[in-house]
Amino acid sequence: MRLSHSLVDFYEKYLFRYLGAFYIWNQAMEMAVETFEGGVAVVRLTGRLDIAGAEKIDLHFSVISGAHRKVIVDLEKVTFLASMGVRTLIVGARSIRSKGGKAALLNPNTDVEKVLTDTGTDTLMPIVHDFAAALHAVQG
Amino acid sequence: MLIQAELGELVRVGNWIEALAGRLSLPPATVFAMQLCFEEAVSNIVRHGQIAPAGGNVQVRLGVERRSGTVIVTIEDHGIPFDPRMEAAPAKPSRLEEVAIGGQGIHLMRKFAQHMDYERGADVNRLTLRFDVPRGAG
Repeated sequence: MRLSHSLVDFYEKYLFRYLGAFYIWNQAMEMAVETFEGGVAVVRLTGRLDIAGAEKIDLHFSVISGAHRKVIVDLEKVTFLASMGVRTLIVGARSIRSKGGKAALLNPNTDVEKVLTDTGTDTLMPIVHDFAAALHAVQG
Repeated sequence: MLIQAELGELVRVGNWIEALAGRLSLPPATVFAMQLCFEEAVSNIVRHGQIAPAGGNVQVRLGVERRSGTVIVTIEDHGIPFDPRMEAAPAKPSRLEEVAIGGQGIHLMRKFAQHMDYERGADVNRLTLRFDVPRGAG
């Protein structure tokens, strides 16, 4: 019994800490931008768009939203989305719209899509599931 | 699990839930919902409840209990009284410009947890969330 408790203590106090470092490295938000003909910017996000993720990309996302009128945000590799991440997307979308531009959200997973629809984010940027539809949404 | 009311602690919470998911046979959708609610609840405590009556930082105690067909999550803190159920849901946008930039956290908790309960006792806020685990999942 004592051994079992010691193992649990070890597991909870130490192992999480080291696994945590790996987890942070593995899940840290990444943002890459590719520009296509016609001035379409594709922002590819990878990882967790939580508080830490939103903080990491906020400035870069804001710069891209401020500089482009046609933006596709590829969410295929986003594994998690919480309200601060939603905030990042909405602030960017408003910036694009304020210039008369359009944005679209591409390929969110089921859970991420539920967050987007529950918050009304999809009324600001349509959710689409293929690249051709995304191009059409931002160019139409 | 006991954490400080600091946003940096959310990484440790995320790892904890990932580890629990395997031990408790939780399906990915339930893990997502739990992580979302923990993130929103803890960030609310950090924003609204940082005043510890005895001084120092507020601590937050997180609990997860697996029952048949459900997971019960408890979040307790010693911060100022705060009942998230009293927060008004953001208005449903009728125009694009009305989509709320903030205030979505508690709204999302309502959407992703099947039930939310709150009680205040002995200077502790106690939030209880229930997540139904789909039959056959996990």
